[in-house]
Amino acid sequence: MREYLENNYLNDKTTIRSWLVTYDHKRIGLMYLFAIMFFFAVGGILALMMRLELITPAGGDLLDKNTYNVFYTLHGAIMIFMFIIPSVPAAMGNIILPIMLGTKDVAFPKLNLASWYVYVVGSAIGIFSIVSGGVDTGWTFYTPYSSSTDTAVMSMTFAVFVLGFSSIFTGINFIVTIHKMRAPGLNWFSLPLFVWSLYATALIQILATPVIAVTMILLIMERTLQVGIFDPAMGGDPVLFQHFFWFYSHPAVYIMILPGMGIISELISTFSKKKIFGYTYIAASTMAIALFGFLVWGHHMFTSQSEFAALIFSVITYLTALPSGVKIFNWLATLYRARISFEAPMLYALNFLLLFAIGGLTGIFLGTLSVDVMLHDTYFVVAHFHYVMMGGTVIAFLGGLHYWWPKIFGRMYSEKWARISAIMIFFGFNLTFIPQFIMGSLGMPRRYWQYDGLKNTDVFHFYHQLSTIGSWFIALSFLIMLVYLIHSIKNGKVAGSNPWGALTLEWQTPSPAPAHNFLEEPKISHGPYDYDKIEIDRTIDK
Amino acid sequence: MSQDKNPYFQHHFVDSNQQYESSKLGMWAFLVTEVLTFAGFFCAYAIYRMWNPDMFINAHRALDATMGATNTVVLITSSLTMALAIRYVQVNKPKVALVHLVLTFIFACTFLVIKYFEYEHKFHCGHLPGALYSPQVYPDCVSIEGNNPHVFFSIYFMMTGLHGIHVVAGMVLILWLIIRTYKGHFTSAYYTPVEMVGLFWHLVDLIWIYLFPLLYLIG
Amino acid sequence: MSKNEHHIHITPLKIYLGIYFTLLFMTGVTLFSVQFDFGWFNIILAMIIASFKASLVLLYFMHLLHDNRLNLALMLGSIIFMGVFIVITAIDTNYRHTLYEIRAKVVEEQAPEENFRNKKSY
Repeated sequence: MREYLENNYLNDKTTIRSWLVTYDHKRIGLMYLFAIMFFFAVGGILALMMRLELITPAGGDLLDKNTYNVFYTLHGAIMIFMFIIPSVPAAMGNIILPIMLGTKDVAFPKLNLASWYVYVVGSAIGIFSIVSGGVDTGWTFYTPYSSSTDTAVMSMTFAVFVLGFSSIFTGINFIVTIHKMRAPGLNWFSLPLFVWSLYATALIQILATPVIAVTMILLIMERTLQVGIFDPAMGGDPVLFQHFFWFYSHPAVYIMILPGMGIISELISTFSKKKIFGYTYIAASTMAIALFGFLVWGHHMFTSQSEFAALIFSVITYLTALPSGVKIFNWLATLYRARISFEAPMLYALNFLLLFAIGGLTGIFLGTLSVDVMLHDTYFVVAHFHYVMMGGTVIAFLGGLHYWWPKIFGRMYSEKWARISAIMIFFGFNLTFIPQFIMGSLGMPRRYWQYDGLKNTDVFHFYHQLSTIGSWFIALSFLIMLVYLIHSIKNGKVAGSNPWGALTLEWQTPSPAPAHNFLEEPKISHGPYDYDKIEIDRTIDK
Repeated sequence: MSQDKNPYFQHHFVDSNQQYESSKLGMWAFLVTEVLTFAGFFCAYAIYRMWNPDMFINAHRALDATMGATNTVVLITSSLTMALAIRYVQVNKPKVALVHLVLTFIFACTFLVIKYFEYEHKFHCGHLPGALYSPQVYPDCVSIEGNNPHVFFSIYFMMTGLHGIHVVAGMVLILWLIIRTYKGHFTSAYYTPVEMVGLFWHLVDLIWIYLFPLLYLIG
Repeated sequence: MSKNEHHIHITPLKIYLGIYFTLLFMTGVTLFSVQFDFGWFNIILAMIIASFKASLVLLYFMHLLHDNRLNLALMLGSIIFMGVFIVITAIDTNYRHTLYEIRAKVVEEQAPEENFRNKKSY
């Protein structure tokens, strides 16, 4: 029905205390949403300043060399640990998962609240680290520099350690919720693909995150007690640190992308009003990507590990492309001959298809041993991971944000401005990062504060200027997004329960959702993508 | 389990059994994270032992295998008493369960006491991790040949230290259970916390089952 | 009667005690085996015995034998991933010395002193 639910989860109780000790997954998810968007802004500002510095080849326009090192470290650490890893699971997943499963809450609401507070504490420690002068090791904290530099490594590694627990708690919660709390009649193969992706992500979270915890402990021990694990002078091995670090950090990128891919499945099906093509294969490839993701960590270490190990990792990296490819083709097949509507969430989904494809393919270039020797630590790598993390996960996150915004707030945002913003991001993003691919292949090294005096400086200068201008487009489009989204919370058109005419369970309940998710027991009468069998009316006019 | 007899039923669950099974699954998921945490240390152990096989064999003689073996027996026994405590609540004999929980706690204390003596000897002999390694020449101290003997002790202290922290955490949880059992919170209708702490405690025992031969019985 | 309802298995006291004494016995076996030196097989034997003891604790004390198979799958999965981590890292560590030997030689041959004079440093 098209109405704004009077008694919903937002106004159920309105004291500050009711938010601080809430067990409601929707409130917890919403708090996460605001926190991660705040950290995205912080990380983004750091990036804008670095790009401004890089607009000239000489150093020192804006930042001195040590500050620049601190900036790229903080940009990476904040974006990865405080923004992107919690972004889709903890923010969107928390709000939407139980409703999609037809249940009242996650399995362990108190653990959910604990996960939020652990995130807050971890982020506070991270902020303390930043305020104490930050870290200049790169977000990868490689030894032996990280065990000897006198920047705030201890507090930052401890922050990462604490933030890891937040991720683990979310993972435990989601695994149990998905296994045990599905509504009657909802079996595994009737689940929306977003749920499958959250499940695979949760498995990765519990298996991989403890290893980064151990790595951070070992680094702290190295710095305080000089245990000698990573120090060659004391019989240690710096490359061992890299093994430990990447055993988590590679699966971590799948924590980032899998939920995003889950969102894309939802968006493509809903906005083409067509049954998703190859549901079982998409679900299976989600699990396969999670599994393979654990077997390829050495591809970050081609220039530091043995050739034999590098060979094993390169081969498995190639295999990892297969399930991702399966998904891309299934999504394209879903779009084929469908009734596509180009609303903002769909624009983001289409963005994703191109940008993630580019990101994924360039990953294959990097996975080729002989090529990687040239491209390692150049801007090619920087462009690759921005294409998958930003062009992939962030774009999918924005698509999900726009898709579920009416469910979360009960109101629609301005469709016109949303489309403008989506198109601007696409344009700005490509303008920022395609030059970086080109520069990287010509040898522009990453993490360099100045690039004058090199053979290709003039060429690099041209591409850096394009890249910086692109970054301004991205910034502008996010500003526009901030304005129209905030404006819509109080002034947007009332959305009703199902503005998109979608078939998954969260759309069978009013918007904003009731405090306990459903007003009456949800009945499962059709599959999540049965657009060929059922036509549901949208609660807003198109 | 019926929810009318379960005063701790949480209403987002459909019934008590779903709550119980969910709690168990959640605890196993948590134990997965514990295994992977210790995996990091086992990996470091494996690598450094591969690189310094002779030094490891020499260094392990500085550890007292008798104390280690005693601790193994102590932990296995505490695992038994913990399992029995759960069993007695399952058959609705909370008072007998309470006795077993107290016994488990006492065995845990014993483990820590023996550990204390072991660590004390290490400090006395200067067999300490990393930069603190400063071997003393006393008659009761084994001298260790080979490169980088501090690496062995770094690994020894980090692994037994982390394990010890888990023993302490387990003891806190067992104490919590003792208080709640004494107050009569647990019956055959609801004993989930007892079983959850039991699973955690058994994991602590499991880790020691591997630590003991790897650290104390090499060569 | 919900679909989750099932009879909870209560292990008999005899079995708990039996497992306990088996664990003590196997600890004794481990200590006894230390007297013999099988070379590289020493550690494998120790791990086999430890794993046998661990299986007993997992299956009986932790009830995995009679529990939902999913719990067992999670535990086995974690052990497998631990194995992957340790084995592949160990493989790399084992083979890395050849990398250093090859690389070190080539750099020495190609870099005589003269090349480094008068070079601008960045």
